[in-house]
Amino acid sequence: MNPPAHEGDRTVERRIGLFLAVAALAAVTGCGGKQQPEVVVYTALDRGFSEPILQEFEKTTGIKARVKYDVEATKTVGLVSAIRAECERPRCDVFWNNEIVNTIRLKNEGLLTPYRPKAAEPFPAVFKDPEGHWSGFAARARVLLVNTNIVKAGEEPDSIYSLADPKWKGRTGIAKPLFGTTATHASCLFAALGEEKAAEFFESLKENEIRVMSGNKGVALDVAAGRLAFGITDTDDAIIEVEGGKPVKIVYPDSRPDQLGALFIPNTLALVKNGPNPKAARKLIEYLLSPEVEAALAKAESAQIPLNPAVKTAARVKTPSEVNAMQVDFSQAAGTFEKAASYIEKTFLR
Amino acid sequence: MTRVSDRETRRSAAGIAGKAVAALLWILGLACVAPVIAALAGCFWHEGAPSTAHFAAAFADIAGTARLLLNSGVVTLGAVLVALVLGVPMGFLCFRTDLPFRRVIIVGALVAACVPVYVTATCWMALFGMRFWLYSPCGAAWIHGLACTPLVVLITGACFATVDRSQEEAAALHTGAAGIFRHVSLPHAAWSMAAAAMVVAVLCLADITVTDVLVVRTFAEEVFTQFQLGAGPERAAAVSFPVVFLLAALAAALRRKLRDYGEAAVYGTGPAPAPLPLGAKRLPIALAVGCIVAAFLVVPVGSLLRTVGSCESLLTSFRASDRELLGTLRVTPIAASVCVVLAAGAARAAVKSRMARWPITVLAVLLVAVPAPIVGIGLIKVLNRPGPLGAIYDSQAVLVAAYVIRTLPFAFLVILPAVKRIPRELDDQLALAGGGLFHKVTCVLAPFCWKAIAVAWLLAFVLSLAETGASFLVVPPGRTTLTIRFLTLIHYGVYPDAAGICLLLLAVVAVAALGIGGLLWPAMKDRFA
Repeated sequence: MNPPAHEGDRTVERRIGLFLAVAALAAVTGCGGKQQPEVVVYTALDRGFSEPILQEFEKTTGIKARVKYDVEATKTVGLVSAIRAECERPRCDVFWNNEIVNTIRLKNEGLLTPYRPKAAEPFPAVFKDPEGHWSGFAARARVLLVNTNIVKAGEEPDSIYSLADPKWKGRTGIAKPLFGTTATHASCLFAALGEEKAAEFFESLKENEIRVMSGNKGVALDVAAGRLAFGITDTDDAIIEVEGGKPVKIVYPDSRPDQLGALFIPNTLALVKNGPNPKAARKLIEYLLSPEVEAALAKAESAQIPLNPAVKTAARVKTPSEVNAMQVDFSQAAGTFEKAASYIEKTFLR
Repeated sequence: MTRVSDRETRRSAAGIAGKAVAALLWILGLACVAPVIAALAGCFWHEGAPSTAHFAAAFADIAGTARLLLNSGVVTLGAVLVALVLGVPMGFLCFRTDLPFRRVIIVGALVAACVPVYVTATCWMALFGMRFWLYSPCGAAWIHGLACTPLVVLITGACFATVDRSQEEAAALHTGAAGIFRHVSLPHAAWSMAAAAMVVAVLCLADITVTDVLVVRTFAEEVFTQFQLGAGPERAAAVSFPVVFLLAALAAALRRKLRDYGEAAVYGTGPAPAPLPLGAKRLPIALAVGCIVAAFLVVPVGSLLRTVGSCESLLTSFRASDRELLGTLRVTPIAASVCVVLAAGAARAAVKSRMARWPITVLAVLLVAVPAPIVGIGLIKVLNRPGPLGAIYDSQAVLVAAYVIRTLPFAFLVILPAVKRIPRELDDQLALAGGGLFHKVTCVLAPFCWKAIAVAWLLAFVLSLAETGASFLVVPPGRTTLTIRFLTLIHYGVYPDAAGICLLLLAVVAVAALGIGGLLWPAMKDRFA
């Protein structure tokens, strides 16, 4: 056994303890940095697309953007849950949602604060909340991505109901409709068709053994690889496969006037109630609604559709004015979200 | 006279310091359990009164619950079956026979056992593509089984390595290697298989990464989904009760046998058993084992390298994730170190005090059994409030807390047998000599437990590295971990950037495993002849 304690040992002991405590504290919390204005943003838009925009914001304004990105597993809904769980003591300032229904749900729960950005003025009224709780910009559409090697010309699907066509049994795909834009689409169908008909639609998809994937990207990849004949996905995932030279084609579903039409879903920005940095948050919202940001998102790989008429960059995918766009009351869709999610969870995914 | 007085003063000061540290460890330990208790206790309250309403809501859909039960059962039992069928013979061959290159295989198994399960899943997805047969409970069971096989090799192998030499030598007079295996080694290692099965079952039942990517719904996945869909933390926690109850009951039933195994496997007495000659079958067996190792390690890693394509592509993916790598390398070792300190303190308290033993054991079992999202939910409930708790919630300390809670019971179970073997009289002698806490650690705990502490640190490090279920929910803005980044990318398919991060994770794990393995090898090589 070692000799018993001496004063020298004890000093060493204290110093080691102090050093370890300070090192651990500094390493975990970070230290030594000077105070910089900051804004906390939760974004559901894919990191690859949102990160360059937010980095540019930091360069332009000197405001540090602390970002919580979405996890693909629980697209959009995960961040909504986080904002809800943190409502007693919010740490998020700006919610940059890649869809609209869950933003309206947060508004309905009283978790957002009204703000009418100047930069939102040129946008069409349909993409702004009349009470100023959210502003829409940069949209995407829900489309059918078709593998042209498998689906011959003339056989192409033209409607979301084609996903239930027995001819393609087990060869079509959809992302898990509990999260992300697929959940938004489901709520919109529940709002537009009514609960019964929407449930019938999903039942027919299930009977047709549609493949449920973990995300829209997975649907696009499997169609491009020929593992699926076609599937429903977002334009940002579809266009990457088209421009990557894969044997695929985008079909805007239900384009006849007597049909439902293609669903266009804008990104939305909202100010979180009692967020810690309201001033910087307003600056960020103004920045994100600027024509430069919409133009950048249109030019980027995701090919988002500019909604500000002042943006002159041509969209690489079709816009609501070029196809039969689905007429949806998003507020009503937000009201059906829980019913739709409950049905999907208890019946469609079982 | 002055010397005696000084000594008494020192002893008294050491006693106070020791009690202060012990109190601090108790507080930290209870703080680790508080979020889990808070999350689970919330299930029994509704609108300010005791109620079973959350359970009624969570299990109202009987068919759905049955489906979850079926899926969880298929994934868990399938994984246990795959891992035991492949792992037990490999453990025997590597630890007990004269198989060529067996030490290389053991080192490979140590590294492979540290690889997070979703990395294994990615390797197989890279190999086969996203084929539909993988998207099923059986696919998830296969992936989990393969991922856990190296762990089974090590757990059962460690037990095979402590077989009584004299019994084997007596059996060798009447039978060959196969007979010795059947009649001596296998009965000796039977409980190690039960322990390995428990470990595999716990890992499968708590995981949400593989089932999420493969779109298979299990109880752990359901807890996460329910919480994310806004069902409320109480209802989400209620969903986890069948799994918590089942695992806790199993752990309680097998507690004594598993404890005996743990001690036997780590502290085999008597001479190390001699390697059994495989004779004429040595070469064919070596070839078969080589094929299995290739299937486990070489082919999947090769497929990742093929996906990455070039060194430039690999460097690009490394550079794109450098912030996540640095963040992970900063938080994970701290979490592992805190975890080991707490685990050692808890083990010491459990050994020294009968009063402390039961609560510590019960809490350890509870922490093993709860699905990871419950820890995240509990941390939000406890920490997201104004004041110092909120400061912790807003910093990376919340990740450290999540990792410590998730890994603490495993580190405790590794360290406990070693602490039990410390002779009590050593403590008394040290106290008489006026030794303080520093000397208790350096003169008693470290010499007796350093191997167990090193293994526990490695275990806590790799489990923290792989942790997602809790950290998904609590990761602060402006920070992310390599694992979360990777799991987001993998949803897009096995592209070069995801494969690059996968290789980076493998490298981190390999360095940690080989470092700790290298530290332990000189002290253990004689037993693993």
